[in-house]
Amino acid sequence: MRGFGDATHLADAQPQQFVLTGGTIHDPLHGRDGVVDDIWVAHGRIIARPTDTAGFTRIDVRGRVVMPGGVDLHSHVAGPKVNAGRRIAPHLAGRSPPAVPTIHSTGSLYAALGYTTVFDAAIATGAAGLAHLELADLPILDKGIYLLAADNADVLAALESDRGGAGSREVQRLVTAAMHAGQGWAVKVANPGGTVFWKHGLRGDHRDLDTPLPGLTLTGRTLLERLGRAVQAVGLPHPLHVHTANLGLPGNWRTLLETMRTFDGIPAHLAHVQFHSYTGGGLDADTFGSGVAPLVDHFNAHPELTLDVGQVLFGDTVAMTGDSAAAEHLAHATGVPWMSHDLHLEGGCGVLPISYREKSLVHAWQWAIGLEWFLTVRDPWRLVLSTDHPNGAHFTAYPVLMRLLGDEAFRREAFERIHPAVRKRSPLAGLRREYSLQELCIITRAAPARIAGLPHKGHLGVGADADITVYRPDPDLSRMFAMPASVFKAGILVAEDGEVRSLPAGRTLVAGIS
Amino acid sequence: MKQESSGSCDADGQRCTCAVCPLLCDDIQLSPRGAQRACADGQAALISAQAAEASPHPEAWENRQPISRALALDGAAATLLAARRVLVTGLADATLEAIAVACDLAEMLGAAIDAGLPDSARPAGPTIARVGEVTAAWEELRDRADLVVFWHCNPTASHPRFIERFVEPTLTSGLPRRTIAVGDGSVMPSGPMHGHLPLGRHLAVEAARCLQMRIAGRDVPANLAEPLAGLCDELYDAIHAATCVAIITDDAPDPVGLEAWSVVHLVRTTAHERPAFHIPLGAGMAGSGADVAGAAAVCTWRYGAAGGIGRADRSGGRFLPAESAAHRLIERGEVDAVLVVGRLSPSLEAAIAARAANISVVRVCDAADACPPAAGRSIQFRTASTSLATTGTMLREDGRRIVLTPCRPATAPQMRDLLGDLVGVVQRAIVMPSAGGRP
Repeated sequence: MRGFGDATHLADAQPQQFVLTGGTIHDPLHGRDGVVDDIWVAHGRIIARPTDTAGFTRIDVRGRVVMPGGVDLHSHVAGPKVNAGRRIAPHLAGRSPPAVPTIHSTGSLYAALGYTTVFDAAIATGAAGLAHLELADLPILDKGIYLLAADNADVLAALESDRGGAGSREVQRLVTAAMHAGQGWAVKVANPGGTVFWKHGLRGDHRDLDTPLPGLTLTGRTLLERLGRAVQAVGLPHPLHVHTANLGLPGNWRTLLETMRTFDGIPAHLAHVQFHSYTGGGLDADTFGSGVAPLVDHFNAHPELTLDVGQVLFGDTVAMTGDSAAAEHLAHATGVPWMSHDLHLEGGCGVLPISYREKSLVHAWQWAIGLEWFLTVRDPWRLVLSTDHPNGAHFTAYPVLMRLLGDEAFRREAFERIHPAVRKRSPLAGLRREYSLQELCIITRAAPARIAGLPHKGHLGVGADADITVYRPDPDLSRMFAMPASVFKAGILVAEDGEVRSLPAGRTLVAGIS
Repeated sequence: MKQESSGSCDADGQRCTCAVCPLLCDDIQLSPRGAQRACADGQAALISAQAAEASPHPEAWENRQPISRALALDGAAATLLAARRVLVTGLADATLEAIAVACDLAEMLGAAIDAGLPDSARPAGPTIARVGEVTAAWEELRDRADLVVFWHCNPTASHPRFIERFVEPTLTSGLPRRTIAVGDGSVMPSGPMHGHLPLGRHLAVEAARCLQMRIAGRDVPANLAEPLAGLCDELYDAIHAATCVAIITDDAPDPVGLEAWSVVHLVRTTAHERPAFHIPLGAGMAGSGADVAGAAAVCTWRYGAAGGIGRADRSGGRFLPAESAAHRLIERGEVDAVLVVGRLSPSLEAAIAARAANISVVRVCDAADACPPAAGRSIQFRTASTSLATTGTMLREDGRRIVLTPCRPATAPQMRDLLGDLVGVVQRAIVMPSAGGRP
């Protein structure tokens, strides 16, 4: 990534009429897997070949790979916790890129990487106004937020009363009101009921989904089920976005399995599953390991579920979560600076710096578990590439992750460097699968767009937003995906060879519900 | 569902939000008799703001002489563009929207930017980067904390209605709330539920460390002298009897941040045992405005730090704690022009006055604060009254967003709009150097 240009001179670009000629098209939604074709663009959209082609600029992309713009379904880019992340780790601010970039750099870096849409996955309803103000400074990308609309006393009371479990009208009314007030795209639940435990001084460690919340008959499981149905009934574009309980704790694979079982027939998206897939108990290093296999078995058999992985990659970053209990647990164990801000009636947030190391047993397991998820889920249309930026790694590390998935030799080389106990016990050792370009396109574009509920994104069909990334083919996938030859956002050239060329304002994506 | 607070007008059009201090009280009823529910300082400020709005004021001044706004805009742009280095400061008296425009201007000028916050002035950097920050919204304190410790602070002076609004109300649980003041003053009247533990400020760090060790189950020094030993015993017992603990501090001089560091450690250790949080109050009435948190938030998402930005750059400003603090830049003569957005703290005002001969000042503030300086080159713009006629949003000191709704028609431009006009003039001058831009 080289430079961003000067915002004052780059903001006024207009959509162009052009045709990308002779590119090798990857458009999974329309079954185009490496076919050579032209892409016509006008008024910020992809159009059919017009009868009158005069006035269209021809851009020769022969020999280049053409994909839709990337869609990051689960990231943390704005709001109070991200701002706290910027402040808590000034030693990581001077790096290139900074662990938590400024909002302007976030947009520029994503665009230069070929991404054109991003969602912040955890904004408290009370902080939504401020987050939108910050997101107004995010250039280029279309953006939306998921609201932590369940961590609220009124919603919890309504869920408690919803004994039929059908997603009562009152829950639906409150969810709709929260979505309108917070201008959200989806509803997120972070550690279901965890806020209530936290505020009663209960740490929540190893709490199962069937423990009643203090003072209520509601449990984590009934909360998820009732809220999932309410979200479905309200008709949000994206199903309930679930960060389940016991994040990061040994033995938490059972919690994730029970979470999946809870959504029997109810659509739900499981967030950063890597952080929820650990075997073991307590601090026993010999039992800590991967619980992925039974989880993937269940997942593969239940099409109502989708997931993003939250891959860990080695290096320094900043962890941030709406799950204060999880952050406190980690901060207490490591002694690093910890920021927590408890919001009135809603979940707070926890932020702390973290360094993932190849030689750390736990970190190596986290790395291997994430990859195991990617390589054992059968249907790439139900899986999304993410690092839960910046929790598992910075989003600019996506190209490295794509190479790990698409280049088995490279993965093996990396595998040989990690903690020996993990090399010995991880199922990753036996996984030979390599993602094709088409599959990488699915998990970074087509699937996240479909799962998020964005019919105009993630594909190159007529009527789609002209969010297009053009790559130079390269056997080194990390090099290929790190520096697209050109990136178009709504028909505007926004980046070329890692340089930002224009800074148009993106749109805010707000769920249209009544 | 609790939503953002809005200072909307009621049927009589008299409700307003008091933007005098970072409490941002949004329950004020303005009437000819005064400002109901406001504290004495708020009353005085709101009455003064009404008078200032009602009386005729020039729209701008240049070197203490009234001039038209258009001329002042040209003059201000020329002054800022001709400067060797510009500092943009104040900010804490402006809305979030106005701060964003001020940041646009700072970026165009390549200016330093700093709102004068203590954390940006400490050479050791912000406390949050060294140990963290365990805080909560003030409603958490009001509704949950059954033990409130005033740790060497007295909110009645800095945040006059803080105790009335957030400490005196009954807890949601119905439990009684115990309060303890540690320090020189009692803070609240003595009674069965309020205690005062006298302690010199010079012992604050040692007391916090000893108490933390006790809570963590570690040995405290056996020879601990009074009053530390007794104080630690009493606070330890109170904390253990509580279900939720709030420790309130103020913005006292803490040049190396050791005091803040010791309190955060104490809160972290307590929070591992039971719900606990820190309520760090800022300068309040003694500060430069109601939107201190807003200034910090906007600067952080724009530049990666709350202040102390050596050069405003959206791709990541240079954060230089202490070195690029407003006081330091002015005192060292490292800037020759200052864009003041809103009010300044008295100490920063004095620093500018002391170097009036070498610094040009462009000031954008509301009529009640419009006081052309006695000396030095200056251009000043009058904007709408912050409390009475400004639209936009501010952040209360705990980060809660408050929507301002004007209860009087503005008799001067909104600060955001005026800064936007200045951006336009500066932009045109930069694009057309022959018209007076930077060479």
